[in-house]
Amino acid sequence: MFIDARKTDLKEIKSDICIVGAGPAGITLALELAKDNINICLLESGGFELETNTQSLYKGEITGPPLSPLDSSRLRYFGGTSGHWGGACWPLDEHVFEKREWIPHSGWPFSRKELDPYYTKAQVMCEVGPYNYEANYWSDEGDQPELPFVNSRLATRLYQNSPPTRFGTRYREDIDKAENITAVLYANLTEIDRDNINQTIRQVTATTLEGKSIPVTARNFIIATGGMENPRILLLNNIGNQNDLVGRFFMEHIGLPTSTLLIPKHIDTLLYNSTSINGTPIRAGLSLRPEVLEQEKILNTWVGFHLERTPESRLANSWDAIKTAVGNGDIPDNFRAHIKTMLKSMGNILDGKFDGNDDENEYISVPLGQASEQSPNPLSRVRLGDQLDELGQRRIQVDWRLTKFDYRSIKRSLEITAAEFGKSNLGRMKLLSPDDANGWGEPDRISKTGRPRGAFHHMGTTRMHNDPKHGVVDENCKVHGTKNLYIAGSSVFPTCGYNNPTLTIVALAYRLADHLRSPLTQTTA
Amino acid sequence: MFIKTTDKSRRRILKYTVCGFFLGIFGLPTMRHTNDPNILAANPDALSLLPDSMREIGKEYLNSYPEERSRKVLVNSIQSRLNVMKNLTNEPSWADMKELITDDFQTDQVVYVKGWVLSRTEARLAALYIV
Repeated sequence: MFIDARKTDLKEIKSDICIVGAGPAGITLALELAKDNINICLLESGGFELETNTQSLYKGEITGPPLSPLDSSRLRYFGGTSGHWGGACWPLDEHVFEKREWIPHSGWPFSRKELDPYYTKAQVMCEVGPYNYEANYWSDEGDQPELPFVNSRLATRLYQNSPPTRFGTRYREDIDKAENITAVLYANLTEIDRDNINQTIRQVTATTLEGKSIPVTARNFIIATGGMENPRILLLNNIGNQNDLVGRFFMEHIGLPTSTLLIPKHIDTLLYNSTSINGTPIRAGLSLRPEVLEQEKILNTWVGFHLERTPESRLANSWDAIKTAVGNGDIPDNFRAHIKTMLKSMGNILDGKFDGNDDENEYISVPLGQASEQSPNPLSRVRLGDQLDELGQRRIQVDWRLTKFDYRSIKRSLEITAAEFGKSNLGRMKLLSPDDANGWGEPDRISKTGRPRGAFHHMGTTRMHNDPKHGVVDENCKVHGTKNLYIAGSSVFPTCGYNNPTLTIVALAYRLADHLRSPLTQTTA
Repeated sequence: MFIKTTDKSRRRILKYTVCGFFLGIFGLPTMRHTNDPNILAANPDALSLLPDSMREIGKEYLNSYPEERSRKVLVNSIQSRLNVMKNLTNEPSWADMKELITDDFQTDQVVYVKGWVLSRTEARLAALYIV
């Protein structure tokens, strides 16, 4: 059920588990843990719609290279930043979990294999297709070939597209119907009361913008407020920072103006367009194989093609939508629109075939984009600033730092990608050089036009490591130095790969739920 | 073995340039649908219709590698690579040239010219137009 903290008569809330933040992680945790017939309190700062005064709490300072404004890249309402999520879903690559000797601070405390069962559940939560990200599977299923590289250092890597799932809309009714979930809206976490001797959290205080406070007690507490707000809460309450790690290792996925590809027109690139196979929207791109990364000692980059939606791709997508729906005994949404698209596309294709313009030497020019992994850097950080928000709490300062290693990795990845196109006679790439107007600046001198951009993926700021000297949370996402405080979300990522984080966030939430329901955990708390 | 830098040998190497992949990319309005090397080789004046991009790449390559600013050096460089790769004793075919270009990419013999990631052989062929 939902409660409006501004209007409720409740003087206190008692629960088994208190979750702070109703974004993808918080909502996943609440619904999963509610299956155990325990009482869940889910605190959310906002309401069901974005509101200026609540959103204003997300304002902060950017003191390093430019990032999107902090109150634009994050949404503070029920459903969280899934409210403007693009929908890309893919698991982190296996090697991202491994200790890579050429990347300081790399390595997760568990392997990808351990997370696979949770990724499978996350696929359902995020409303995507089967948990299969093998390019050859989708290529075969859709009869859309991978690029015919020869003995290549590249691999085709793809993501699936969620509708996208707006967690606040999609799961609002489920939360409302769950009798053992009390979702408290307009409730901002303002204080964590800690028993320092026993290292336990006794209670947290939820406060409205109007100043009304409600204490919340629980056996276990989970902070799930996002990659910038998670460390903010710990810093404000001086928890978990005994080794000055909270807020450090802030990572984003790096985007830069990249390159152009000239590719022969006759090469089938449908798989690398936004396509649909068996009703699952996917998009493929290219990245370097793990053995190449090790040989080159670099981070990874994924290169995507900004292909025009050709008549062939439109026809394929509409046909796939109809075929999938009919196969399930349904009529697809926008059935008439799909039929219209198919007829028009077939006409365009036929026109193209009979205009005599089938010169195999024609090329198309394709802009390329890339998403790159950032190396964990303790100097890249989120910290408390001096400005206060409407609740009297210090806002954050974000100092996003990139290194020469990050830039070198991007450049070398693109050079290898370009060489592979040449080697396999599939085209030629043009890379923007640092001298071009829209090129790359040096890490400490970013030009306005050439700056790297983030992807609204805020990661690493309460990183996971079993040694408190190297991490804020342990492998179960429990804050070091506490017995019953946990963190959920991308702030726990020790490394980030190039993959959009939402699927991993939800998978880790499922994993945390499993941990919390274990008898040992319940005894300890 | 070095080939003489006669007009005939230069023309043959240039012929491969014109009908090759590299020029296929930048295109020639008058030659887009002509891939017959014999036609092109018989009309060397047509080379003057090359788009500026080809000349620019050649120019930039030579700015980066001024020691190759010589027809003889460029042709000999290409020929010596071919000899090493294929131990040729006769003049190269277009297939040989294509193989050399592929080998350039495989062996990291790539150059960056105006942002383009090219086979060194391709860049040398472009340079031949302006020396």
